[in-house]
Amino acid sequence: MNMTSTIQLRDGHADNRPGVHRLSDEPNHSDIHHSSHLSMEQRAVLDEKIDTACSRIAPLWPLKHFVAVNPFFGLSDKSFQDSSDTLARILGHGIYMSRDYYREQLANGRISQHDLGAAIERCGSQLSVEEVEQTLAKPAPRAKMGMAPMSRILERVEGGLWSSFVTERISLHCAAYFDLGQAMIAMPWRDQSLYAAWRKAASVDMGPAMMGIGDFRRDVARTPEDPREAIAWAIEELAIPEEAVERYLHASLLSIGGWAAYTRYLRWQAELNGKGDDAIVDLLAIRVVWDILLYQEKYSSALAAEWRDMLEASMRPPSAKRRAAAEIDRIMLNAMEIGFQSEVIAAIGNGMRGKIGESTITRPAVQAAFCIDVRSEVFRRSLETVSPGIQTLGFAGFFGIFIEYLPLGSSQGRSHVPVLFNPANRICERIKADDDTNQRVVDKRRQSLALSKMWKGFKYSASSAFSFVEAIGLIYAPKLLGDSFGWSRPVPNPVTQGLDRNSIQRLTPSIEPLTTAHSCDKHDGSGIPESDWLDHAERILRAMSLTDNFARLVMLTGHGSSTVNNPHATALDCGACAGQTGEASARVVTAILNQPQVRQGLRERGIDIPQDTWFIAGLHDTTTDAVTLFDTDEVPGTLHAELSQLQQWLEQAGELTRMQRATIMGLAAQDDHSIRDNIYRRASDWSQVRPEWALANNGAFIAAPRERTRGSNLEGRAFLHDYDWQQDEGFKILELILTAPMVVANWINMQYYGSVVDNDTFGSGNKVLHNIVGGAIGVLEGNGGDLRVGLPMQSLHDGKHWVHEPLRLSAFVEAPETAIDDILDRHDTVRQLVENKWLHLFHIGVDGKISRRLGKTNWDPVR
Amino acid sequence: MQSWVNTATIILAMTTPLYLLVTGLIPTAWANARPRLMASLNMGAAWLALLSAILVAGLYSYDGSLSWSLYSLQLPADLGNFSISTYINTVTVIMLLLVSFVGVIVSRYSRNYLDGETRQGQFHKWLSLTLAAILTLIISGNLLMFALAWIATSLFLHQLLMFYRERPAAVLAAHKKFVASRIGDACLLGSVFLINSALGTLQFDAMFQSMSGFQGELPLSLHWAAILIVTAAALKSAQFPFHGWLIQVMEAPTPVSALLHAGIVNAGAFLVIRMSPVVSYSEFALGLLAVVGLITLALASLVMLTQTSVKVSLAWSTTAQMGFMLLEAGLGLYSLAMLHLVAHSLYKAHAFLASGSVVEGFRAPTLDLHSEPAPAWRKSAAFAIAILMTLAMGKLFGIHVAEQPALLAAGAIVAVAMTQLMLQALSLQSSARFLSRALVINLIVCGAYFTLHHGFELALVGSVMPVPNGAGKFDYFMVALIITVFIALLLVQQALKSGRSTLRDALYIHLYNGFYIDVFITRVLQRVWPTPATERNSYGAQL
Repeated sequence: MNMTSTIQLRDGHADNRPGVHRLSDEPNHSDIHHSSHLSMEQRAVLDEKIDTACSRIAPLWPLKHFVAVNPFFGLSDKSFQDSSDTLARILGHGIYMSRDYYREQLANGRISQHDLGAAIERCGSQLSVEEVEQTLAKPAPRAKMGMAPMSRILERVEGGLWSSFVTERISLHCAAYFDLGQAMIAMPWRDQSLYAAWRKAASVDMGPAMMGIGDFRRDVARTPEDPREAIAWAIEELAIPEEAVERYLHASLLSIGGWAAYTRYLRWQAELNGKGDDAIVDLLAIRVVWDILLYQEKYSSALAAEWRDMLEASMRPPSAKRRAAAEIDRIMLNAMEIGFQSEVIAAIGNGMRGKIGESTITRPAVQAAFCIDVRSEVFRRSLETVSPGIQTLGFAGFFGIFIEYLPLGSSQGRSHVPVLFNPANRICERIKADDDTNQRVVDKRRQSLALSKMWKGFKYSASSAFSFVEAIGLIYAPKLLGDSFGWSRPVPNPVTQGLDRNSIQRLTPSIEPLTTAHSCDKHDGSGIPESDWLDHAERILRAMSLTDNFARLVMLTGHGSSTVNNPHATALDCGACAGQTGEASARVVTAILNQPQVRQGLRERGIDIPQDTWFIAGLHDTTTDAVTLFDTDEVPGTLHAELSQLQQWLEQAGELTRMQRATIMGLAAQDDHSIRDNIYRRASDWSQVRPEWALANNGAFIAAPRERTRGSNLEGRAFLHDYDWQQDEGFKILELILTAPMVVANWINMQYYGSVVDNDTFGSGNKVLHNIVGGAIGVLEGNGGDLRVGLPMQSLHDGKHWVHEPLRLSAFVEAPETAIDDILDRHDTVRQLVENKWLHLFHIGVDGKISRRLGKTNWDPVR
Repeated sequence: MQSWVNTATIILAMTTPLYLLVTGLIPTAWANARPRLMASLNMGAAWLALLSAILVAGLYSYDGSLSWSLYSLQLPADLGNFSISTYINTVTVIMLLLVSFVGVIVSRYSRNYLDGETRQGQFHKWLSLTLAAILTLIISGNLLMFALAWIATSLFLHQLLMFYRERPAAVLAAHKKFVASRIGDACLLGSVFLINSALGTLQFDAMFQSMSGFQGELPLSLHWAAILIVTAAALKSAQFPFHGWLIQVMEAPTPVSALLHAGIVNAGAFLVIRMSPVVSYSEFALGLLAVVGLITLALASLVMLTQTSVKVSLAWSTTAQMGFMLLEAGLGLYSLAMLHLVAHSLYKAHAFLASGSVVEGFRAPTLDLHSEPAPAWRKSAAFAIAILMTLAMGKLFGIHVAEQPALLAAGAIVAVAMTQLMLQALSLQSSARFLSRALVINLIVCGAYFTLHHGFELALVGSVMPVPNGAGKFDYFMVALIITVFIALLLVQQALKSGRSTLRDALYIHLYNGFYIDVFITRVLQRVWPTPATERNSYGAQL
């Protein structure tokens, strides 16, 4: 076995027949596989490298429930800088913004001289401010090629469109294999592995032959049947030096990064359920087999030389010049972060904590809990402005209840919990009516859905599509008009499809098990057992630090968006609810908390909720900033006055929030009414590519009592989690906050970061070119190419400027340092995030003093 | 009184393209500096064009054609008489309404959709010009004016297709389209001059008059003209094997695809209908058109079934639908072709503009469907019901197959489609209530089809030159072939869905790859007209 550390290439003079050129010292037995060449140990070493390379890829959730993912998730065991260097040697560029961008920030004052100085110090650099400025003024070193696949090398040698061709071939195969239902006729080999299916398909596919690789189909037949063996074979044939193997595999996956991310998602989901999924290894095998077959078929000494040069170049450590350039990048990023951090620190200092005494002494008019999402910050501030007597809280938008939700009549549930977890309870939707009525509505809905399925079949079948057009096509004239003016929806709303208005208004999640009368066998074991209600209630209230001084109305508000014709619609919904809205979770939790026996039990456990307190669920529409309240019919009559007061406040707060959002939406000059109209129009405009700015410009995470920040304007840039460490026995809740909500905030933050610094690799490009693939898997940009990950440009950039500032998350936690250190000690993944500089961790003292964590027990006072 | 109305109709028709033309003449730099204003101007002009079209539709008397020349120029070397003139009949009115309506929708859509693009102003400029060119094409009363508008449409559209000229794939697709279009242009110009040499006129009305009541053998030059016309139509409508460009133009913003698929690609059928006074007398040209259309629709509709991305699937669907439309034209069923043109435009414009909604279909509640296949007797019953329903409807609308055997093919196609609908229903639920609802839907669809067919038949009398009566052997052969193809499509789709065999698997791969024709064309084109394989574009260039 010649996995030697030097790159040995044979010129291939001896044998010029196509298809038999090998890079190794082995004799030419192209039709025999040499699996036996690898000893058990070598095999194990390679397997580990394969698995490491696969784990470097971050998962991509499909569009039907898109959630934010840290694209550098698989690199967090390395430092931020090392990861940037690693990616630079694969992609050709690191993960910092361009010098142009930083120059602009310096010029417009966003980066002050002071912040620059502080950043130099923080980075431990010896440079002076002037030196940094001077270097910044010069152009950055040119981007390198990185570790390119064979197709790219071939393109350099003989021209042509090989890169896009190979990407297209692999992408088409994946799309057909994973298709969720776009095609009427599915690929035949979906019952086999992705790799086995590829071998079958490629042995029929005449595409490569049409492109000039005549023997491709024959070549495929002699590739190893086992994907890992195929990878070993390719590595051997391509003479990848041992120390380059892992990087080569990582690079190969990144060259088809979108589908790699999707297969990584499949593995993620399988692992959550204690299973495994090897589609990502299959994909890797397909990619490297393409490399080797392309090499053999198109062999020339020039190609071999280019390939060898590329391998050598990509393994060289960064030159002094590049290291110096990286230092500048690092300083500039830190300088921007320092500027932002001082704003947040000032905001925390301006808060009301300790200034107006203990605000908890008087009973609040209303308590309103929102998701930690940065969009809630704006709304909470507005609500507090409208009514100073209101107390608002921040908590993960699934409100701590782990449910899978089955819409009325559906036979399949959807997870409504953060993607790090599995749902524990299955909740079915029903309408507030007797069983017979439910049964009737369910039957009607199923029938109506079946009819629309039949219609779809009629519309798209080969033999009927033509008659469909002639008989029905003219109907699209009024439909075009209606959709154009926002009077109608391009397609029925999936939440309410097949239901009449009356039933829609009576929809509700059922915490009790559903009778079999209106359910199918999949509904068995639905609901939450009554015996668990009390435990859930106690756990949730304690996690929210909401254990005394209850208001008469306590509102739990989930959030969701309202847009039409938007492939990435679910990206605007609640990430903590796995890309669904927070409605179901909020309604389930409030339903439990309103049960008399739960109240009784809580009292026994030391949480005394007054008799006159009522929990009510709401949904914050982040597109329009309207809040809908649910189950108002169940609110006791004695609270009706409070209820209508709350509704009025919510309306006013919505108005105020829209006014604040107007500037960033380019509506600043308009009056209240036109702002409202404009924003509502966006929600039903099928041509709208910027319905809302979602979590753009997020940058901070604050886990502290609201009094710390109340009264300060955090400009919708902070995730706010309420946390009172004095009430947290054994710091159990702190542990939860640092390992779940803070990690989720980091994921969102890094998704935005990656999408801005390298939209080609970690973003999804231009929305006006998006082409949905696989029904609901993801988007292609334009005709084809790789599946795209991350966020579209329109979610980040307004056409003139970046709306999102790419900064790493600054997390502020009010808890003793030792408690934080202790938790980081026990959770490697979180410790890595902090110590490898994927986020900044700050501590807020009881006295309001703030310090930044440099290392264990090493906290640097900032203020 | 009557002449006053006619004058108004003519003036209004001739002004429809003008508003958009004026908008399109705004300099690029000015337009790019004021994207919102440019979008509003574009939309305003499109509304004015639609308003004019509606007024034309209201004033036009629907009996006979109107024509009028504004300016006329005798070309040297006996090339004929170029004139800026208009020719209005029912076809003109329908097309004006259709294109100006789609123009409004697309312009309106682009306003927000392209918001933030640095070259949005330019986009609206080229969109206005493209719309103006199509509207000019529609109102043209002179063959040469028609041909020039035809060429202009394609050149302006080229600018829209190249909107992201930094994207190699966009350039490649635009090159493909460019080559196909120029061949088409040459064919059209050739036919125009042949017609002039044979009939001594370039005016549509004169051509119509001189050919009406034509008897005997068509002169060779007109035969050739007819062949060139159907070739130009096939190229314009992305017929096999020149369909590759249409599949690939997803590299332009969605509204461009919508406009292209709804307002431009169907110009092939419009051309044939406009030229019916010549084409109708050339059995060979019509036969050629029918065969090309039939091959295209059969292949493309099967390829469509396998496609995994929404826009590519829609593009294959358009190719198939254009094939069907040209097949109808080739069979002399001009009114059906016209109905198809209009209905498909509206449907496809919507399908593209709403293509971002696909995901929502997958967020709807999941159904547990009974999976056992319907018994054979039910399938046969579905087939019998479909045939009976079609026959009854045909009888009700007084269709006589004997006079025009092509109608037999049309009827069979409807019967196959109805069968498909019923089979679809049978595969989903078996309850009597569900099936009876499906049956009612079937009845409505069937009724709508025959009503519209009848309506368009009436509307187009006098606006097209019908194919002379008396069916030849070829007609019967075609009818038999078409019926066979449609039944085969039904069966192949069923077989592809359920069966598993080496043959079926191989067929799937060939279909999925669109029979590789485009890979091959890309390779050849890349050799003669290379696309710069640029690095992936930077962010700044995108927005």
